[in-house]
Amino acid sequence: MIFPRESLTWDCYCICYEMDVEEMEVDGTENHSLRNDKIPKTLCGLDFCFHVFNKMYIDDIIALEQCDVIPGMYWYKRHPIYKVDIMGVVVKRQENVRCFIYAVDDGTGVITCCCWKSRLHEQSSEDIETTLQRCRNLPEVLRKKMSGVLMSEAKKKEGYSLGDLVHIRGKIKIFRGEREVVASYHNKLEDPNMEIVRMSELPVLYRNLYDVDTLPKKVLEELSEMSGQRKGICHSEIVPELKKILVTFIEDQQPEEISVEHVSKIPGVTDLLKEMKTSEEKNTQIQSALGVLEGEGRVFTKQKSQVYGVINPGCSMERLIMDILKRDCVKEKFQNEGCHYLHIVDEVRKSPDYSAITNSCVLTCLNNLEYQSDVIRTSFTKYFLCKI
Amino acid sequence: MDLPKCGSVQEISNALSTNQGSIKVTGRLIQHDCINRQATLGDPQTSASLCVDTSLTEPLEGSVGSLFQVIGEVEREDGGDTPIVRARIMRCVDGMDLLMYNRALRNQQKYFQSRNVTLVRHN
Repeated sequence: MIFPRESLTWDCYCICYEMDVEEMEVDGTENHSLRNDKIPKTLCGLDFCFHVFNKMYIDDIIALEQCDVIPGMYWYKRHPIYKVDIMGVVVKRQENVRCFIYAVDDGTGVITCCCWKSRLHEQSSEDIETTLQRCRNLPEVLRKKMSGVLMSEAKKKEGYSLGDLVHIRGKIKIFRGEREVVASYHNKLEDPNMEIVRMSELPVLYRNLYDVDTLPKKVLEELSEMSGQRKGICHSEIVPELKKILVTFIEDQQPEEISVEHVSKIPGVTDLLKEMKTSEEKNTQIQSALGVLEGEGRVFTKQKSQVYGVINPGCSMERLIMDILKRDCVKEKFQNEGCHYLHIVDEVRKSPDYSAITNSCVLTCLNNLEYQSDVIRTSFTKYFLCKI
Repeated sequence: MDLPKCGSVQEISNALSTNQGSIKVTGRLIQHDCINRQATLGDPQTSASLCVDTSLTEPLEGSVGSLFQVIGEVEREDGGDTPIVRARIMRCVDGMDLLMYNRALRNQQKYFQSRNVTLVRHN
């Protein structure tokens, strides 16, 4: 008769007590629309379920959804799972040359587990008796230990038999069309109370871990919004794409001005934005792309709201800058090193056309002038005229 | 690979009323007849008992009075009221705390019921 260890019973009691106190109803107020969206591939590592051996019901393991993005990954609600920890009774046993195949039943489902045999066992074919004979010279204690070790190894070699309670940890794999667990750790449990511990643990784990999302709700809503608009390109990717199209357009055609309507008529842009229904959305996208370009210094806003001037080599701002430099480089203050670019910016902003110009626009213009050899950059921030 | 069906965990009193399927019951061995390959499993708390056909699991390790867990299919004799379990697995679980086991089982069943409730809600 095996008596349970006192501490183990106490653990069971504590877990059961915790469960009785908790509410039995799972929160059904979850947003239904969030249920079907999965975490993108790059964020899977944030979820702890990705990293651990997950204790789950075998029924759920069989019903896991396969992930099409990452091979070997499965989804349980919104958690990525690929390693599991199961405990159950062996109901079917099959021995092959290299491995044992067991069917494990935990009361909710049955799954096959593959336990690879140790290669070392293949090689040593010596009997326990002969090995012990060889160790005659060892002290008594060591001989006893040796025989104990040999006995346990022999047991391991035989594998588990029908009806044994086993604890298996491993990865989920698909073998010949069926899901199975390839064990990286397996052990036979002598104490039947371990089954009770597992039965008590699982509902608590499910309620607190698996049925709950790892990422906060707002993040998930954003993610689902992004994937909702995805029919080719993600929401946040439209603006960079637009920007690329605009840059090529500007370089090819070198217009003096560019307007939002003009942009929306470019063929590449119409393809990109055809999923958007209202023209307002399209305009906001175009404006954000133009805003990015403005930050980089390729365009600047003119006084009329929807028209953007383009900084091209040979634009009117160049003449203005040349005039400013001609006027100022003669002055004593700037004679040695030239004008600081911020001074040039201030002067440019004094003219009514360019009152709200950004620093980067002026810098782009100055770079263009430098390419044309009209100005020279004397230091990191100072510019000088080439010919006075 | 043909897997045997999963044994859903039941108490003996429930097992007496189920019709078919694979179950897993835990009880004390009251009687064991090797020759006819019959055994009787009893619930220590209630006085319910269940007949078990042990043709697949003879010889049994363990004696009368030990706790056993049986996984097998429930069948009813033709026209009979008494169900009989064709045991595939008989496992001696001496030392298992039955009170804790029943409690854990009830909690597990409550959890599964709550799962079904949410599923129904969203359908």
